[in-house]
Formats: sequence, C-alpha cells, structure tokens
Amino acid sequence: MGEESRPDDSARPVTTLRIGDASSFGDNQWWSNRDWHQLVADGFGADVACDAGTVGELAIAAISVRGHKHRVDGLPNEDSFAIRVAKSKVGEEFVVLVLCDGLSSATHSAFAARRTSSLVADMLRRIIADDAFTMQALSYGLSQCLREFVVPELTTWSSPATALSLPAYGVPSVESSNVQPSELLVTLTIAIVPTTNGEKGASDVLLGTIGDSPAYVLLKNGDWLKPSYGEQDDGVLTTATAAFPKTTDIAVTQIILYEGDCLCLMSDGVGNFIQNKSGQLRLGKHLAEVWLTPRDIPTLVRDVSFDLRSADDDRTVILCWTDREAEDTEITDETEVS
Amino acid sequence: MSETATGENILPFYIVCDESGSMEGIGGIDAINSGLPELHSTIASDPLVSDKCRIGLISFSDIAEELLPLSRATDIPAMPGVQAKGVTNYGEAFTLLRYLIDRDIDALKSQGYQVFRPAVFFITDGEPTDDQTWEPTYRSLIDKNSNRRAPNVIAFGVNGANATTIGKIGTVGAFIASSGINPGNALKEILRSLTNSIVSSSSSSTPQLVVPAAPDGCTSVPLQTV
Repeated sequence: MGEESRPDDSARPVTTLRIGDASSFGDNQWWSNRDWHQLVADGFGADVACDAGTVGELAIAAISVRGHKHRVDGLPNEDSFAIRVAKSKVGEEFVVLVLCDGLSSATHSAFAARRTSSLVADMLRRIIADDAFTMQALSYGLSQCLREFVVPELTTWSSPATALSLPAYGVPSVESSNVQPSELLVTLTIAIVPTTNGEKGASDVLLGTIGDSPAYVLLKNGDWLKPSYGEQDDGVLTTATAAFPKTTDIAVTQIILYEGDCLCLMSDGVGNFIQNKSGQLRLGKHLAEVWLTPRDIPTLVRDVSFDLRSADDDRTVILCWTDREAEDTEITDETEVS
Repeated sequence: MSETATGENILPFYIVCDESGSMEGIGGIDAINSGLPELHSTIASDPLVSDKCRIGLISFSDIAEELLPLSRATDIPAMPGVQAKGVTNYGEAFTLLRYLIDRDIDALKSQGYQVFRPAVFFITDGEPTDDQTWEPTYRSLIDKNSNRRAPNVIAFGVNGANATTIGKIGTVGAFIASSGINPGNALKEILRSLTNSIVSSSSSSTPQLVVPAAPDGCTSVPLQTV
C-alpha cells in the first residue's frame, strides 16, 4: 500500500511587514503568556475582517485588523466597514463603500461602528434604486437622510424581554433609552463608485465624510491624492473633529476616478502613517508601490497588519481598483497611460 | 540619502526633581529614589506605553543637571538616583528644560518621529531661593507665543512648598500636599500619580496628556498666571 501524501506545510510562516524599528509587539506570538492579545469576552472581536470581490470593472478589497491597544485590553475592533452593490432605476450599477471608526471615548462605539456602517450602506443602496436618484440630489440630501433614516435606527433597539431572552446581534445590554448619542460616536466615510469606467476611462465618484477617517486616491505615479471637501470662498468647511450621530452634517465632494487609479478609504490607524505635512511617510511610500494593482488576500491582510512602533489603533482600509486587469507597473513619472 | 520618516508618535515626559538639602530631612530623597525604579518598571513592562513615551530626569538645587537623557524605558538599564545638595533655584531648572526640550525635539524630528507637546512633572519641597529671578525664565519656557515647543507642566509641592507658587508653575495641573501628611509618603503617592499619568497618556491611540487626579494626601491648587 502506498504512503499517504501529506499536504505541503513546508512554507515559512507569514513574515511581518516591518516599518522602521520593531515594536514591542513585533515578535510577540498572539498565544504567548504575556497576554498581549486577549479574547473579547462579549464576542465581536473582529481581529481580522475581510470582504473582497469583483464587480463590473472593479476589484474591491476591504480589510480590518484589530489594533494592539484593543488586543491588550481584550476589547473589540472599533472599526467597521460595509460594502453593497446597487442598481439605479435606469440600470446603472454602483458599489457603495462605507467605513466607520468608533471613538475610544464612546462606550458603545464598536457596536455603533458595525451598526452605522451597515445602516448607511443599506440606506444608500435604497436611495440609488429610487426613481429620484442622481448623484447631485444625493449629495444635497445626504445629511437629511442620515438624520431621518439612520439616526433613529442606530439609537433604538429592543432590549431582551426577560433575563433569558437573547439580545439582537451585538446590541449593548442596556436599554437604548438609557444610552446617549455621545456613547455611540463614530467617524463616517462613504464612497459611491460606478462599477464600469465611463468615457475615456473616467468615472464620477461621490465621497462623503464626518470625522477624520481619510479617503485617498492612489494615482498611477505613486502619489496619494487627498480630496478636499466643501471648501468655500469664505472659509473651509471641516468636519475633521466631528463625529456621527452627534453631527449629521456630512461633507461631500465629487471626484473623477480614472482607469488605473485606486480609491482608498482608511481609518486613521492607517491614514496617520501615509503622509503628513512634510510628505509621504515610509508606510505610505511602500503601500503606494504595492497597492497600484490588486494583491492576493493574505498579502493584503499582511499589509494592513504592518508593525510600526506607536501604531496601536485598529486599522481598516477599503481598496477599489478601477483596472483589475492592470499589470504590475513600476512607478515612474512617465508611466504611460493606456 | 536620508531615510523616509516613519511618522512614529513620541510623547516626551520630563521629571524635574528638587534635590535641595531640605529634601533629605523630610525623607524626600529616599521616597524619590524608591519611587523612580517602580515608575521605570511599570512603564517598561507596558508595550503600549514603552513604545510611545520617552522619559527624562532632571534634578535641581544650586544648579540643574540632566540625570537621564530622554530615553525609551526599555533602553534604560536602571534609573539614576537623586542626592540632597544645596539650595532651590527654580530658574536653573527652567533654563535647562528649555535647552533640553529644543535639543531633544530637534533630534527626534531629524529621525522622522512625530513629537507631541512635551509634559513636565515638577516636584519641589520648598520655595525658590532665586525668588527674584526665576519667573522670567519660567515665562520664556511656557509662553506658547514665543516658544512653540512650550511644555505642559504639572507641578507638585510638599513640605515647605507654597501653594500659590505651585499654582503659578503648573500650566495644566498643580497639587500641594495637605498639612500633616508625611512628606515622604506624599512624594511616594506623587510618583505613583505621575506614573499613572504617563501610562494613561501613552495608552490612548490618540495621544494626549492625562492630568492625574490629586494624589493621595494632596489637594489640587488653582492655576495662576505668572
């Protein structure tokens, strides 16, 4: 009788993407008795969450990794994302991308991030399917929609009727009437992207934000372009220090995404290390090179799990590649546009 | 060619300790020397804190000395101790602080770090002996209009320290030991409070100075302008 063939497990374990000097966590095994990576007693830890797939001409990948701060404290990931595909009445197809980052100061922000991202994504899908949908109408009415449709659903839930009743999916164990909006604070970033590139490879994309989770466009030349929102002649509208649902006034803008660009929504756990006033930081420089084209999912998880001292917040990215068939290209200033 | 900056966040903390002769008589030197290793051990064993904060130790009496340059806790083999010396010249401490903060921030930024506003914990057991001259030196240290690196200062006073003077030195917090409290014990509590402040400030994903509650045996003092 022949010997049974064994799976090849000879490959080395995934190595850490190290940026700068190793952090204290760099070489720590999650199961070690240092207890720097604790389970979340109430569940919903979300150590690694990922959605990925193609739609139309787009390749989308969303990755969220629980940060060291929450791992040490045994608390859940306070970032969350939601992705939906929506079709308008006239047959245009869009992908809806939503990213939320719960504020550490808010008691129930992990729940709020999960719930808000899902509610907002579902709301946008319904709006897109409505007869009256246009990007412009949505940009004007988005704040009102958040107030009327999302806030009531976010701030109200059924409490268990008896001690043995099961709570709904991760809702706080307290009555919703006893929870203040300040305990549910999250940042909110949204993008609505056509799934097929428009004429001359250009698409109109709607972006919206409350708070400091940035959206970037990674250009073919390796630059990170940060779109601006709602600038006015008499000043600058900023919601950078605001949070939903305390603020429902969402800053919106429309940008043009060209074939070959990569739209990146991020929580500040990643965004803070992309670039600053002085220019690109080391992580930003590295990701600008490797995120020009789609990568396999384990490698993307490794990218977002980078080891960098003091980077202990939750990390979440949503990447939207507009040309999923592009070959790997070296970044040069003269990169040819096809 | 210089390396691209990582953007790593650093919170600098300076502990400024009175080393005047009177500190020995009240058990202050012993309290500081037993409290500093505890502070070091707590910070070094917390990965979130030790990765983000840097601690430096300055002593002052007739002159001010840098006993420990701004360092990562895990790079410090052992905390230096303090010794009772001469008088209590506040101005010397503030002059040295100004110089060291500039030197250290320049060095950290040249290595690509993002440096948050420094925090200073100022500990004294008496009134300044340079009472005519320390205030201008202090003002030039903490005035954010003329010194963009002006630190946040939390002041602690025991024994012969004057509450009004302590209130002038603290910019975000000031505490005085209650009368009747053993100064050595008060100093131990102050060091614990200081440790908690460093840990809380560094543990947050969005670094910000956490002013401690009044240490056991101390009361909060209203802040006053100089």
